[in-house]
Amino acid sequence: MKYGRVAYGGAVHHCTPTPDDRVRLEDGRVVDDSAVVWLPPLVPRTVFAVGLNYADHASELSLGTQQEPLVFLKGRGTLAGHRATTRRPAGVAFMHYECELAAVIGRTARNVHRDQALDYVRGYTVANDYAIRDYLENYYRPNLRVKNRDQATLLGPWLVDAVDVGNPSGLDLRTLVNGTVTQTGNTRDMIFGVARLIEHLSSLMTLSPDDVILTGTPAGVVNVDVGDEVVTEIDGIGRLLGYVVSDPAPATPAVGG
Amino acid sequence: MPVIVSGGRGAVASSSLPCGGAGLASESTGPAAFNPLIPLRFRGLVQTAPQTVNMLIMSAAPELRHGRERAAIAPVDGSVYGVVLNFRADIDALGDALRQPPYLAPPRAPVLYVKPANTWSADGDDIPLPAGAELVQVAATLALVIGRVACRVDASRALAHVASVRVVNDVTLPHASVYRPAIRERCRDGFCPMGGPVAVTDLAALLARARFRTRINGAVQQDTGAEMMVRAPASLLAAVSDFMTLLPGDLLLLGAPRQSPTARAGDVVTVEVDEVGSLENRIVRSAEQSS
Repeated sequence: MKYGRVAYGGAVHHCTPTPDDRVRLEDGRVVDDSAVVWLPPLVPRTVFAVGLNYADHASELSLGTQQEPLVFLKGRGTLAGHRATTRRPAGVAFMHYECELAAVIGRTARNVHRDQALDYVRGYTVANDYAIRDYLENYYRPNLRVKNRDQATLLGPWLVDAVDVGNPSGLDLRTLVNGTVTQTGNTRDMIFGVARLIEHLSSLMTLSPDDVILTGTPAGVVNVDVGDEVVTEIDGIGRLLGYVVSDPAPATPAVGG
Repeated sequence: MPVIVSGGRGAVASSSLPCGGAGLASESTGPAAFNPLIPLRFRGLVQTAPQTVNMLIMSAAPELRHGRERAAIAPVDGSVYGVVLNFRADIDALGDALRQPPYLAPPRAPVLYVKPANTWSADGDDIPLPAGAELVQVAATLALVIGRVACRVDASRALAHVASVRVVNDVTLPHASVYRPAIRERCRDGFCPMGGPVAVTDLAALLARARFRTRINGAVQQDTGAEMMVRAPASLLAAVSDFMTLLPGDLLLLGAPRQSPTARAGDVVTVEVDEVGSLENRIVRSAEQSS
């Protein structure tokens, strides 16, 4: 099964897809997918992200591979749903998307071995985890100013049951900017697959239902500009659409003092 | 007079409160009840369900309260952000290293981290030592609880976006490098004990004079204040809101020096902020430590 969450008619609804790609609300109404405001398919508890988890992307950034996953966290203000608009600050040179498989934890996990780790996954969705590299600083890198922008972490449209996905390794993923493919990869090329990420994270802390793990992106990130339509899609999981929009206020330098 | 609001699941029986909560129901007409910046959840509790709310005045000089009952954590309705390198001593200690690899340049924007939900705990909860660790760093700090959306706010008006404050013990494993996010060090279970939200009538004045004291087994090991910070609280909130919007219910911790005191298994750690309150938590070996 696939599940979504939308705003429609003045309220938030859970929904499922119809065979002809429309949206069936939990009360039975069927509406066009453009008639709803898409929200992330769940309200995440903790959102983990993993950097440099595809060898090709790591080399793209001139960085070596890691002994253990490079993990960082996100706050709630950065989350947005399918068809979201994401602001590009005026004057920046390099804002890029990142197409990522997102795994959603379904039950409490602590010190889980990789062989059992996938049993703790409730389902998967697609993420587009934007970065604005102009703001990269070498403190707790990648810093939140790069990776925790408002509405810059898109999730959706659907949360797909893990049982319907089976092995999360071997899924083709790609990004299209204005219809042109700019990024391709396959989840089998992750350095740390979903099971190993759960093993690692659950060795450090207790994972809980609705924790979300963004598993990293392969090579092929390019700059996007105001007006661009960005599609990140993963076969069998979904096709997540977003738009880059202008930012009315210029970024101001953040100075010490 | 500060007022502590502990509501919902966080409500504790007044008989278990160190200073007694009885007889203070009239406080529900105090500033907390009418402060428009207090999240609706608390206001509703204050106004309509006084039996589930305890409001008490903390003693000005909290004493160690060994063995007091464990309090449930007051709800956190948002994300919790901390800041590192916001003490001038940290910048001074790094010195020329700020310009050397891997840092290459001094920090420009506030350096933030997230304290995720697994770290959140309450006054009286044990702080588990992770497997393989002998020491944790502990530090009193204060959380600003956002009451009104803060997006690109000016420092001169930033504190108007704050509904209340909470005392926090921001626990971490010591780590020399601040190059990569310190998930292993900062995000362990129980590493963020928090007190309940406290409404303050003159926040700017409180922040200017408040002492953030960290005691280990009763002895003061650290005493910090806003005058030691790179960015004072209002400037910090403004600088953060310049690149990410803070939402009502989010917490922004004001930080602590990187050379905060260390504690080991069995130690009782007290963090206290004048006029706000205190927390007392014991460091314990976790079950997995035997492995």
